[in-house]
Amino acid sequence: MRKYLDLMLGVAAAIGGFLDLGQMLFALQIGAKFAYLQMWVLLLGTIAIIVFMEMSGRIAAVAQQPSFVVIREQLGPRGGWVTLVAATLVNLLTCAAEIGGVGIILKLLLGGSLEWQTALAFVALFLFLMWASFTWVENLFGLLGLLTVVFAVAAYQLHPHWGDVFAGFIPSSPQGPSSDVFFYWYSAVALFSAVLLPYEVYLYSSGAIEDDWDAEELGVNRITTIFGCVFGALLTVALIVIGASIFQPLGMTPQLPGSTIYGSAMVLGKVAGVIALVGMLFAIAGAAVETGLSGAYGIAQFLGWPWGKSRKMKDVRRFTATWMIILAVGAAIILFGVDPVKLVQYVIIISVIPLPLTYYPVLMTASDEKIMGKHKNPRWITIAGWCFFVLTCIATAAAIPLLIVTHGGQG
Amino acid sequence: MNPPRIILVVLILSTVLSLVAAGYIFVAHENNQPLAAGKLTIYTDDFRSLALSTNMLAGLAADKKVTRVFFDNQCEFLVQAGTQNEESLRQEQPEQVLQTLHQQSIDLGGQVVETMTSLCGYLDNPAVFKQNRDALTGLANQLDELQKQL
Repeated sequence: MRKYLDLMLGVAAAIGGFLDLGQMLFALQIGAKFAYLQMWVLLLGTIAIIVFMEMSGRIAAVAQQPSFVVIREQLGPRGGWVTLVAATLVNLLTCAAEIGGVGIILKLLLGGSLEWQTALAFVALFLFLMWASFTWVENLFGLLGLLTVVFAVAAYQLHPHWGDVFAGFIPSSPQGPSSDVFFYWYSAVALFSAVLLPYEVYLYSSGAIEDDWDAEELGVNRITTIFGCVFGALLTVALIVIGASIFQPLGMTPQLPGSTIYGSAMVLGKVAGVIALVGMLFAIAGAAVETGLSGAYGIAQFLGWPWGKSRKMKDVRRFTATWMIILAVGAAIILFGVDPVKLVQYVIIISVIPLPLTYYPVLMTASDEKIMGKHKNPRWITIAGWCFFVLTCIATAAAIPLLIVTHGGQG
Repeated sequence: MNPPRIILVVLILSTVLSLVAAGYIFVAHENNQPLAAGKLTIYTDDFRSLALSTNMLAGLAADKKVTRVFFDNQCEFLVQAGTQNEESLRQEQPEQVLQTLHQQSIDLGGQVVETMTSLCGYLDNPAVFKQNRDALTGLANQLDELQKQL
């Protein structure tokens, strides 16, 4: 039972990270625009997040240090503050977009006005988080997010040309006019960034401490990160396949979250469409809750406040108030009329900024024998970590210029 | 100050500065540039995608592969996106050479939105429903032709 619960932490973090509002629609759009040409980016991002998530879980289990304690220790107060502000901003905006996404899915399932459904989403998530322990958070969203497996079944039933799918894992240079080339690289950076969203690591390392992991859980940590991330990546592959199979032949770009279920409904029927919507609902709601919690974890850990979703609220008052404020401000942003789909497209790109500042301290700590003892990084993990760190720096440097030359990522 | 700390300070400073500069340039660039062919292509592509997406949804609804609630609400989102796209395109100031194509795009976009709205209201009337679906296909083709001129 304990092993199952540990595994759900990875599944919940991965479903939230891989299948949030932005990435679901984005994967579909990448399939529609480039077919399978960016599978290699997904592969690279998946290996990178496995490496960093495993490190952060190991640090939490061995040194009992969650991500933002590691960041404060390694970057010092000034660097830590910059990371905290950037990460909190990304968490807040992502949380806002996800709450808006839950509102959209509720409207597609039940009807009613978008404003009321968004308000309902906020109230439901707020009350749930007030009541639920961390175990409930990881289990509910991890388990019900599994309904998104319907995308994988639909992708298989669409009978893609598997040779083309696998060929996409080999990096290829795009051809065509320069605007297409720029958009290709914009999409590559955005996909890489979306897979590596730092809140997954904040949540995962904090969750490991909430679940009382110690050095004995290192094997579980490894399996959990690999299983969770590969699972999330496979569902992303499924969405890319759906995009390439049903939208690319028409030369169209799906623009709305509801388009995500077209493929499932087309090949599997009405019930599958509803299951896909319910799966999306819980995956996006999970991402909303996780980003809200990640923001609170980060602030509380950095400032040395007592924290923990498994502790009584009166014992962690400032932590509780922080996630409540993040959720409330996030909902307010959407209720004041910001489009969650447009917001999440910008957030995906902006989120590359805290990437190096998050992964550098994790890498340094996991390689430090004084902190990690015999559980420090093996040499090959350190080398892989540095390679991915350099890639995150390149993505950070390229993100904003690419955003500009592609007219805000529109093409 | 040890070397890694210097690297970090440079990294943080350059990130913050590039963000501020990029934000300023982006806003200034987007607000002051007249509508060029590249951006007009994005608008027409959006109209075309919305027309085809609505048509695809209509096909799913006709085959009873989506619920009525989903059809009605997805339709509402599609029409809303089309209306916003049309309004944004109207506000753009095109380059001199693109004035005719800009106007044609507005006209076609307006027809797409109108046909989408009509289609969404006639799911229960198969004849009108089919007529609107055919009209959307025709409009998507016209937008395709217009894009080739850009």
